[in-house]
Amino acid sequence: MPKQLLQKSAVTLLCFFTSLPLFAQQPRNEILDRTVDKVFCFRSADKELEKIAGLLNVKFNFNQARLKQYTLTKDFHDDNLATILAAICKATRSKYFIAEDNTIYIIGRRETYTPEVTLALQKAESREQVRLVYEEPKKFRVTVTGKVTDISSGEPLPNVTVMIDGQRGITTTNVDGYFTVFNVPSDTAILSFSSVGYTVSRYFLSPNKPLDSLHIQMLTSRNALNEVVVVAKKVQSFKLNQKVSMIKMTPDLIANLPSVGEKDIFRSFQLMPGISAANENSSGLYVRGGTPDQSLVLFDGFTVYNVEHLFGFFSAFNSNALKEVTLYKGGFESKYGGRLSSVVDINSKEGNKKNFNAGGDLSMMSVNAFAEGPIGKNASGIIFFRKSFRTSLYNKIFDKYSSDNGSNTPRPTNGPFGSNDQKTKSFFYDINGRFTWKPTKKDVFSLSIYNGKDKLDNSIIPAIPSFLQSSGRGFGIQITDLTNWGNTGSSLKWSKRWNEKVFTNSLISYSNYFSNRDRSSDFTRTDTSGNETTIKRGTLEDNNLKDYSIKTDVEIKVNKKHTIETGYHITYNDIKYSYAQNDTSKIIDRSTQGFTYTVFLQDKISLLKDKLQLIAGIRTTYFDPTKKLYYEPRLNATLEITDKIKLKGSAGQYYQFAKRVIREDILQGSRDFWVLADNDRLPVASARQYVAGLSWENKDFLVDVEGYCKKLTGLSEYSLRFQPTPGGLTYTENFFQGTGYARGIDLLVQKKIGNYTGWVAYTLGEAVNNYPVYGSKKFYANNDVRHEFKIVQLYKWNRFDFSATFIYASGRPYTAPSGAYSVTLPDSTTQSYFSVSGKNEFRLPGYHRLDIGVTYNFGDKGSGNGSIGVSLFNIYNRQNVWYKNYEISDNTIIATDVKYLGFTPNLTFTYRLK
Amino acid sequence: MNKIISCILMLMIIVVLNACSKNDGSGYEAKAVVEAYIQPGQKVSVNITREILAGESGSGTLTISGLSVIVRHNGTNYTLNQNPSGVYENASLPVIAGDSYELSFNYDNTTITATTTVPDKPTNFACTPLALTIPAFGGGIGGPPSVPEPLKATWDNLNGDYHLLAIKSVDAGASQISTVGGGQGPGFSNAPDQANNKEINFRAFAYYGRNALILYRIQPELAAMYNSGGSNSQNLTTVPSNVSNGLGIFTAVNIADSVFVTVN
Repeated sequence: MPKQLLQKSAVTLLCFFTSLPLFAQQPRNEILDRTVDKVFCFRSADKELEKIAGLLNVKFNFNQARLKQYTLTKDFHDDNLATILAAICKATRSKYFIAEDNTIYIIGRRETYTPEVTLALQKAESREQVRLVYEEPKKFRVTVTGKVTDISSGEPLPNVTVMIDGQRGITTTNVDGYFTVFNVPSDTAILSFSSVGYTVSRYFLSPNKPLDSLHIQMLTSRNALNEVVVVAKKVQSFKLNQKVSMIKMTPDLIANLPSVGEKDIFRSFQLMPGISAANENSSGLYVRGGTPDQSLVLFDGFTVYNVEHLFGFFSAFNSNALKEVTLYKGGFESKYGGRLSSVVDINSKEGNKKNFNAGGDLSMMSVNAFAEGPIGKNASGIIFFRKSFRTSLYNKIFDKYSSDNGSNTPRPTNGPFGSNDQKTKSFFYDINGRFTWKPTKKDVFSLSIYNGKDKLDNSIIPAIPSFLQSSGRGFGIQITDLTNWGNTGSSLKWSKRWNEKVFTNSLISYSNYFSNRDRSSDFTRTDTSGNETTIKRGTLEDNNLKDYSIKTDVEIKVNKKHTIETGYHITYNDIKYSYAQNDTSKIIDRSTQGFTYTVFLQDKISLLKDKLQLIAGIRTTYFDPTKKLYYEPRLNATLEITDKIKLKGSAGQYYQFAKRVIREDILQGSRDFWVLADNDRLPVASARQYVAGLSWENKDFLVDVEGYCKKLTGLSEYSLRFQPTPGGLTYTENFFQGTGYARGIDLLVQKKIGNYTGWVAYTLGEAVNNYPVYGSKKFYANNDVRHEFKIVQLYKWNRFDFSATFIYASGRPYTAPSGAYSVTLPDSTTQSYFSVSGKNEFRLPGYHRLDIGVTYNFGDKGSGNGSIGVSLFNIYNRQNVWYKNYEISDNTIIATDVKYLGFTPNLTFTYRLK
Repeated sequence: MNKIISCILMLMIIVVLNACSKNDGSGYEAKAVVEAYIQPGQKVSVNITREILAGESGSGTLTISGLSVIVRHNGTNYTLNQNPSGVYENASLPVIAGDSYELSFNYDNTTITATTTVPDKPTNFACTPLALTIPAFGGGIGGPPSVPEPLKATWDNLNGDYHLLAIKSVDAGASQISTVGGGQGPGFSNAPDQANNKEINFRAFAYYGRNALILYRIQPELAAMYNSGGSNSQNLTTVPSNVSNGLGIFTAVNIADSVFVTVN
């Protein structure tokens, strides 16, 4: 067996040598571009090489006795050294490599290396990561462990794919970059490491090197800024085909996509199949017929309950702060739970472990700055800050969405005293910070903090002349329209690698989501004695959610065929929601608390010579408010039919205990808030998901198709209606219960690597709800989009990145009045009312737009560098319809379209010290 | 293996084909819209129109003529006759506080019914003071004008009934007031509530001269109309109505003896 392996390795190496030019995978050395005007070759090869060396000022190393046997009869005119060498090697049956000192070694294809050549080769190997020397293996069936980091910053890299050359079966690094590979054939095998946004790295095991605690350093695409010609061909912008319904994206690479104001990771995900891009004013993820609240968003392990800035136009996450984001569109594993639709797992950067670095971005929307660096010997830190400011672009978005967002507090027009003091103040900010400490090689402690807030102040103080206020008595009016929302979250994580097989990840976290709104009018009167009386009218709304969690995940690599993951999660939720009117009694005052206890167990199994990968797991939750156990069995499978074709499928049960419900408010705009299920009026939501798919992938292209089906129960809608009842008129909390299903097919064709990359995505989907309160008939959900088609094209040319995205989505359903009428009320006001026959029976026109962007990258990695970008959003100014407004005029129902954003240009500037 | 692939592709095609099924639309007939506020001392009049249908181009009257409209009171049916303006009325039908009234008529082969009860008359409705001087704004010398104290309207409301307070100018040709902010400011609200008093600041008045303060005691079905609606495709819902098989409102109100305020 060892002998066979030896032969196999030797054959593999030979194939490697003969099939690839020695430097085909490496950055081109400048000396290869040196050109000769005219050279006539007619003597022996050794003499001609000496002549060329003199002409081009290069140094050759070759076996003179061997090359003397060959006569060169070739003329070169304006040819570079690469061409000349290719011709000489062909004629003399040689190959060449460039050593560390730029000496060009020319070696016979079957020649035995001299010690000098071997040394030069080894140095070249370590520099170029290409093995040129064959070594005799000494150990077989070895286990290899190590860690993968970014070469520039020292950041550990999670989810890096680790493969053994010529073998099936892969493993991935864990959240702290650690990996263990079992059953590596020999200690001379080659490991390859690939991750989105990074060039593929190869590591050559050697009998003379240790097999544990390897340190693999990977190059980002930014490192390769000046080496784009060849190296960048290996950089992928995202990885889709690793697990069922999983997409992995590196935020660095979304910088080149066109954006409105801010590059945004969630917006980039919306360009993928199965994730709707038709909700222009929502950065939330509508995944496969699901709603944003059905997506679990984890930021460094803690749950984020609100992901939106500026009415949802931007996500709450500063993309500069993110290291990697993984999205599961469905079929997610047992370690994730509490949501019906999808999971977004975000890891933030840990900070540069080698050097201090700082930088910033400036766009027409916000300013963004960061600083990072090592803290002492074993620690690093990073902090990000982003804040919006008012520009014409900000105002354009603000005006578009605030005016249509229920902000209709009565506003006095200009009175006899001149203009009112209406200073709308609105901004958002967010801060990310992370501190990482590695006291030992096996322990990592990490503290992550996030705070983000939106403040919208539409308050108005009508201008009242001072003479009215100075006589001892007077009055004041203040109309308040103040909305605040945001998140604060923190997690403290301890990762420990106990040995090559056991890894644990323990975390305690806190997450708080708050949203409050004060829409009221204060009328303050001061009498002659100076006493003030204030009358407050309006509404006060407050939603405050707290999440305290503790969890431990354990990963046990039993052997090559089994990896067991188990763990527990305990969460305590405290959710308060109140709604008060006229600073008197609270109309709604909900306060719910509850523990969620979860344990999970899953096994990743490799079968059929690693062709079949199964993940079978179960998640069990005891939900304190309902005093019930919830079982969630899940199965996930991929089967490699050939090297290129893969079948995949998953089936599973999913429950959701905390829900976001929309409070329908006719007069002041609908608002949403979080509540805990109680299994009384608010059931625990449940989904049964099935996914089946097929993919074909080679080194350049990926074609992926997945069909999905979700059956949903325990859905909730909420209405706060002012209703006549026998005892009078009351506000009634109505939780409407419903069911639904979503199904569809996602298709993706991607060109993965090269200067020209991109993809075409198509989704055929259907999302249907059934709420008995709206009648017995099923209706299409608000987020139902039948066809969605996206094209993303990226082209890299020298230091320029060009991009274009086109989106088409068929119209979303909407409710239209079947009739209308007016009633004159006793106080002589006339009010229009509409009657509705069926919910969501109509369709808005199709949504489409084209965005383009160009980015110029300047400077070099390691010294000052950055980029200048221009984005043109909705370049042909398509007037996409957001919703319709209705009014009655001349006994006719008039419908007016309210539109999304038209053509919007944007500029961005980025600079980094290193 | 090819069979497995074929099966999956077939499954997907089935899903696709199923996904293309459409909702069945259904015909919609215009309903009758009732508008009636019956009150003691006034003849009963009910305005009945028809709903405007979506897609209909507005022309002609919406009034529904030729209906046999009956209001039942204390076991007696009273037929309402249509006057030249198209409103159905009956002057002989007594409207008594505390009594119930049931409306019924047939339209488009459907019986439309509605019931309401006449509330008691609000008592002890008063306002102090009964005169108000609008400050003479405009700057100049002589110091600032004095800002009048708000008027305070009070009434009895032991049962927590809903009330609606309106102001109506009763002088013909009264001149309009320019107020801070113009029109009705935040100190005055038309929305009904269950209080027994309301402060009215000078900005609530639109005209100089005699203004009547009209206090309505209303039923919950009318209060609900002030808080319902929705006018866009995101929040459109059918408004609650106490008219069965129809739309609109059939309710009763009772008005307190008016109080007059003089605005100078």
